[in-house]
Amino acid sequence: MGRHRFRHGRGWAGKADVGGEREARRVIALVGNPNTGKSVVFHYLTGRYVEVSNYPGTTVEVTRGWCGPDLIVDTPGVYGISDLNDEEKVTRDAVLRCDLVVNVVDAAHLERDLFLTLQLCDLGVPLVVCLNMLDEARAAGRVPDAGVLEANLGVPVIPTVAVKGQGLAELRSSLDRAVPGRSEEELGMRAREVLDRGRRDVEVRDEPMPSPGGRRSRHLAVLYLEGDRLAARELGLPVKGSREQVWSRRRERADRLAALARAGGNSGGRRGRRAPEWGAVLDRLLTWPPTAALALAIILGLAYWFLGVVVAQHVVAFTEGRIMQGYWEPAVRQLVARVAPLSSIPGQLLAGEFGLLTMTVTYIVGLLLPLVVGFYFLMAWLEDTGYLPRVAVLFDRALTPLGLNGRAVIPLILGFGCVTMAIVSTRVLATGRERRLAIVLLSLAVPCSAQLGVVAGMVSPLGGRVLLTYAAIVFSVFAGVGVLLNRLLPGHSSALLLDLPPLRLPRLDNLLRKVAYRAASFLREAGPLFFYGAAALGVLQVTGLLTSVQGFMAPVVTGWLGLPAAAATALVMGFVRRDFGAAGLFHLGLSASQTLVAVVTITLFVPCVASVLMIAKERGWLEAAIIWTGNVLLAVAVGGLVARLAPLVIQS
Amino acid sequence: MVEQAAQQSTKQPVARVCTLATAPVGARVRIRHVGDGPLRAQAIRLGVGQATELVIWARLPGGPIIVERAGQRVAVGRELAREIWVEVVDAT
Repeated sequence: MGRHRFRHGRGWAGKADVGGEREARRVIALVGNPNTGKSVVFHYLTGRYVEVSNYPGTTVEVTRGWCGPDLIVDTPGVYGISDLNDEEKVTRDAVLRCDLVVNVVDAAHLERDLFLTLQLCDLGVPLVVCLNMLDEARAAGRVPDAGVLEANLGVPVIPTVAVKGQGLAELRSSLDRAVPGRSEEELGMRAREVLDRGRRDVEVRDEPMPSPGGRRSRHLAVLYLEGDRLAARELGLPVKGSREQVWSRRRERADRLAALARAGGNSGGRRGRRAPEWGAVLDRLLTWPPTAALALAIILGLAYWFLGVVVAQHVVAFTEGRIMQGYWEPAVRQLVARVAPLSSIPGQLLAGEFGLLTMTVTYIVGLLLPLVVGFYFLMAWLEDTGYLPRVAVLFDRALTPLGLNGRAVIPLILGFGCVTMAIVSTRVLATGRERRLAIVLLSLAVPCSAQLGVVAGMVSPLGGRVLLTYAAIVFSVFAGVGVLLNRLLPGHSSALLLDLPPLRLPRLDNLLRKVAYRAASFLREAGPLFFYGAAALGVLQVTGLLTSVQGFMAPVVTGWLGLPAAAATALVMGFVRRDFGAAGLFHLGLSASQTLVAVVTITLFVPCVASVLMIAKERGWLEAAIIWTGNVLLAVAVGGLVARLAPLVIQS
Repeated sequence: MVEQAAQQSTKQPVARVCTLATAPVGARVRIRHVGDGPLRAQAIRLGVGQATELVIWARLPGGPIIVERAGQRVAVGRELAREIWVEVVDAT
């Protein structure tokens, strides 16, 4: 069973590549619930930065880094290990492959976190517990006794306040003391039975067992008893096991142990005084609909001012207009002209209208990067305060008819920044059905920031009435398609079950690091896609195919949509860059109702090349093609309807 | 919805057993039964399982119920809340 062999190099889900294929002495997995400070511990041990969020389920990948000769693997925050979702599968694989686990536990939320700790003990992995956030536990008067935990779990328990660096040196030196924790007796006994039975069956079938007698088969046996499908498959047994029984018992043990540890922690001195619960008061305001709506309106207003005015206008004018178009593009053209004439085919491809070095670079660096950085800063701030889960709770009811639960609000909001990134973030949704629904809505009816800028530019001179009509049309399509798809798609979507993290004031250093990290990974993920798209378009243009596509589309554009034939170019351009499409419409001298038709059509029209490629990457080519076709048909259909109805609303 | 709930808690005697979706806000409840659903196991793991005690912290009109347990707040979607039967331990 070579595929179970542990690989330190490629093959991990993680993107960040650390030092190639260097052989690790030990592989150490950092495992913990969301928001336990795992990433801060990782940062201390490896000197590398990983994302820290105050929103459950923002990372689905593992990040790796070196701590001396040891390889540290940071895993997504999970409440336990199972095959219920991608995050847990990723974490499960990391636990199965590592030599020891550091379990980071939030001391203030011991009941919740000990479930995972006890599961790790039951699995029998060598373990060290990092009892983190003691400061918050102290403030809440809920200090647990590390000694009590150590005695009951049978593994080293190191008290820490990771953000202040307290206890982390002790944690590092305690790694050598990692031992398998104390397992629940009954579960351990049954795991041994499973293995013995398996070995007998295997002898009969004359096949090798996966690493016989090793620790790994013990992990698998326990997971099998918890109803884990993947474990059952690897052991070659039918899926059985009673997840709920095992989990109920473990939940009870976790609650008992937490109570015991806290009794010990608080008995030594006087009971810690409870800090004023400003968090609870704020939480009331953020979840009571009237005040919550007010808070949301204020935050959205500030967000609009920050992104729409400060970044989209002032910053972009400087980065795109001044730097990229003022200095970069002329310099590149000069340089390219020395090698090949600009009118030649290579010259066109590199520095022409859709040049890889001119348009694409200007677009990514000059326009997209500032917008994305601004947007990520905003999102990072919202995430770190813990506000997003409250938004998810608020919108849960409204999203139900669309077959989504409150969680989907995050990707949908992200879509207003960049649809391509939002599509990646649909990974936080629980079922494939929900991901599909969210991706369709994102690609169809959520305009990204680049596009919104141009739409606003075209529509605002026409007055509030047209703008409102535009918003109403796009929203109706969003809601209509969502409701319809929810009816048509087989299966059920999951209900909301969301752990609300405490409200916190974000730390600026953390915000900045997070934004830098995400912007870099945005460039890594989406950058190449923009280049491919631009290259394809360049080829279309150079070969003359672009004109035939435009000619082919002309009847629809003039006949059905009632726009000038030249608008066809804008629609095709819109495929590369959504705002680009709109930019081509500026000079056509459209009437008010024609403008409305045009902006509605380009909003609903296929999303940019990068997001189509991202959909294909996430959901496969077939689904991407279906979504693509559906978008085009719907955009044209709605555009034509608007062309017929718009004159009733707008006197032009 | 809020008014309705308020009326329920004042006029009628509080039902000893109800679902999480209709339990009065502020009440301490003990979970009697969690319906068979895909989220049942996860609910158990988060401490919203049988025999646990929690406080109904807030209820959004038509939307999720927020429960509190051991200093931890968890939002439970309405659909799931309807499948969780609870016994009111203390109605204040």
